[in-house]
Amino acid sequence: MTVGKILLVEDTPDDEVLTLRALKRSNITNVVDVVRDGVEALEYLFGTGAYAGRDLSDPPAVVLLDLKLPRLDGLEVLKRLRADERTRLIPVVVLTSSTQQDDIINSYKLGANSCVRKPVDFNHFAAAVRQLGLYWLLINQRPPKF
Amino acid sequence: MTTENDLETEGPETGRMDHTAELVIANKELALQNDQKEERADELAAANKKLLFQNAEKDKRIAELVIANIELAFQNEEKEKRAAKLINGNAYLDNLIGCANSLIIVWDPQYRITRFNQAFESLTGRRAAGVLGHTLDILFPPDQVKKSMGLLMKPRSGERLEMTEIDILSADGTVHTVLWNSASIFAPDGKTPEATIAQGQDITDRKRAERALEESKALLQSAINIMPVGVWVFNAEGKIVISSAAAQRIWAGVRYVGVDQLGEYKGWRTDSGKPIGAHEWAGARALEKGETSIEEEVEIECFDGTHKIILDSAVPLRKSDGGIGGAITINQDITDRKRAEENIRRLNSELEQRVAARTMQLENINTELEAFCYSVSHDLRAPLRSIDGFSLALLEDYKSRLDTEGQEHLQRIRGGAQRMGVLIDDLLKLSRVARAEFTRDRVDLSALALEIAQELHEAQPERVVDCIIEKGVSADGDARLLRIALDNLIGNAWKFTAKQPLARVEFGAARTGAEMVYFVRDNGAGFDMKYAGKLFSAFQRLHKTEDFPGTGIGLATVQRVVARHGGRVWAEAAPEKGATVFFTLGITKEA
Repeated sequence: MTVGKILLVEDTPDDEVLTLRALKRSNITNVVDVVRDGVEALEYLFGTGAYAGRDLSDPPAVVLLDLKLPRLDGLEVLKRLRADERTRLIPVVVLTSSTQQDDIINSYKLGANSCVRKPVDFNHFAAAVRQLGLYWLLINQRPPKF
Repeated sequence: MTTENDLETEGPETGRMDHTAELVIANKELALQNDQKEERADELAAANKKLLFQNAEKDKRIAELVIANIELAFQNEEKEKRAAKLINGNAYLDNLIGCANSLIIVWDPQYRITRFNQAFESLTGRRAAGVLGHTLDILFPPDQVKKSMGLLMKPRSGERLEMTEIDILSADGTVHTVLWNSASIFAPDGKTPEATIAQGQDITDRKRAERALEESKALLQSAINIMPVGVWVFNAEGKIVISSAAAQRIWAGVRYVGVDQLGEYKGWRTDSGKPIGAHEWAGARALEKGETSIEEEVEIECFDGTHKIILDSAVPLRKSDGGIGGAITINQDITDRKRAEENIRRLNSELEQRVAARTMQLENINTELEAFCYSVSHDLRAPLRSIDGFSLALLEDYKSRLDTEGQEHLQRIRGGAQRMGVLIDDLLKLSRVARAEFTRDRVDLSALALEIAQELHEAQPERVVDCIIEKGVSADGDARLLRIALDNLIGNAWKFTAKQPLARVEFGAARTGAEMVYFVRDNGAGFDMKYAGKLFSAFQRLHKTEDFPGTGIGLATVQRVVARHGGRVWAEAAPEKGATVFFTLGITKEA
């Protein structure tokens, strides 16, 4: 595995634990930074607020973004991310419990690289996370650093 | 004599007296006789004188007679001359009467016709033989004899018949109206009528023209009266002379006024609310400017004070020289129509308001429902993931510390969580079917069915199912919804034939009347028809979950899809003998 970090944006502690467990079970050992709402996610990505001074030259290899978040929701985070030159090219995988088609359509419209629905069955969830990790961390060619 | 009688009656009494007395009386008598003789001599002398005078008179009269004779001779001569003159005059009169254009007839005091002229003969076609000597009654139509004779008897009493209309019957039966003048001729005593002469003028044509005019006037008036619109006619002087019944109805009366007094008719333009002056009415403008006006909307105040809305139109009437010889105004009462229009407008706006309010309500409900569904979809599933995920974590990480029963319990917890997950997903699908946008297209149902069958084969390659899909079945409908319905129906057929060694699933269609009936048939578990009523309600299941898993939402979803197409769905089945679900999609053009 390469050294790229994973940013997990997830407010539900259970889902955070399960996601980390799934990553671990899939032998994805990359560092996973976790933020718990939309505002925190933006501070992390732009090095502001609690994350002031964070080295922006090392963006996450992939952002796993939950849509339903306190303060600022996932779609808004995605929009800000794509609007900024510094974060425009970071791969974003939208993770959602929702089966609403609107969520999926809007995510792609705003520039999500992939959308994954979190299934109830953990085995299915683990399989999805494994495939995501494989794709975005190994197969996908990261954009050159700016 | 009295004296002699006196003497005789006294005689017998006085005879015995003496004779002397008799002598005295005789002497006295003689003396009296002498006196009488002398008197008679005087009388004779006077008579002689008279005779002499009479003779002289006679001579005078003879002379007079001679003169008279001479005069008479002269007068005779004059008479002869005058007779000759009269003869000439009569010939002249004869000519005059004979050649006169007027009819002339003469009758005697017994009303016998004594004379008539050529004009009379030409008009009536009657000849002398049929007329002369006959009484006047032959000249009249039988039903008018009494009246006409009555009129003709007047001249006899000295009254003149002047300009009197009496109908005359012609020989050929036609009737002419003749205007008569007459006068009677009387004997020299001035009292005894000798003859009546009547002169007449044939006015049949004039009467006919007058009658025709009257009739056309009456026709015009009745034509105007039956018109549903009010009609006024102005004459050349600008005065209203004719109005129709409807005109009087509309205005609750009529005023036959001149154009200067038209202000008595009160009106306001509906567009501007301006009052209409006497000379601003369409009729006045037609009269004074030759304008033609069509349907100007005016609110009027009728003569009874009520208000109405009318359409006012007017045209000028042109004389042969092009000048304006009057005008016609037409009013149409549109009060009821306007009221109805106003009602419709009000109802429409009320309806629009209600629709807008209802739409807003529905939009609010929809928004709430969206939020609810989102919440269900997202929030209800998250705990299930935790239950399943951590149960699995326990099974994986603490397997050595759990006995078989503990592990089974955890498996049941996971099973329950997963079933609930499926249930939530199915419920969301059901609600989405009801809310989804509907787009009607031509949908190839055969292709859809084939695709679904292939997917099922791929998902469960171990199953051997004979899928018989009729080719070329299509329908007008929403492709996405129809895909969901067929997914459920073919999926069910697939599921319920699981225990069948020779499983068969069929899809096809058949026309019944104007309707296409589609069906999905299987030879699977089937069901008892007494439960068929429950089949299409949500959460109703006819089989145990152990036998055939399911949430009981599939057929409810099918029912909604079919309902949204305006169709029906029903099933026929028997336990262990398979089931057939039929559905229609409203009236479609062709299968």
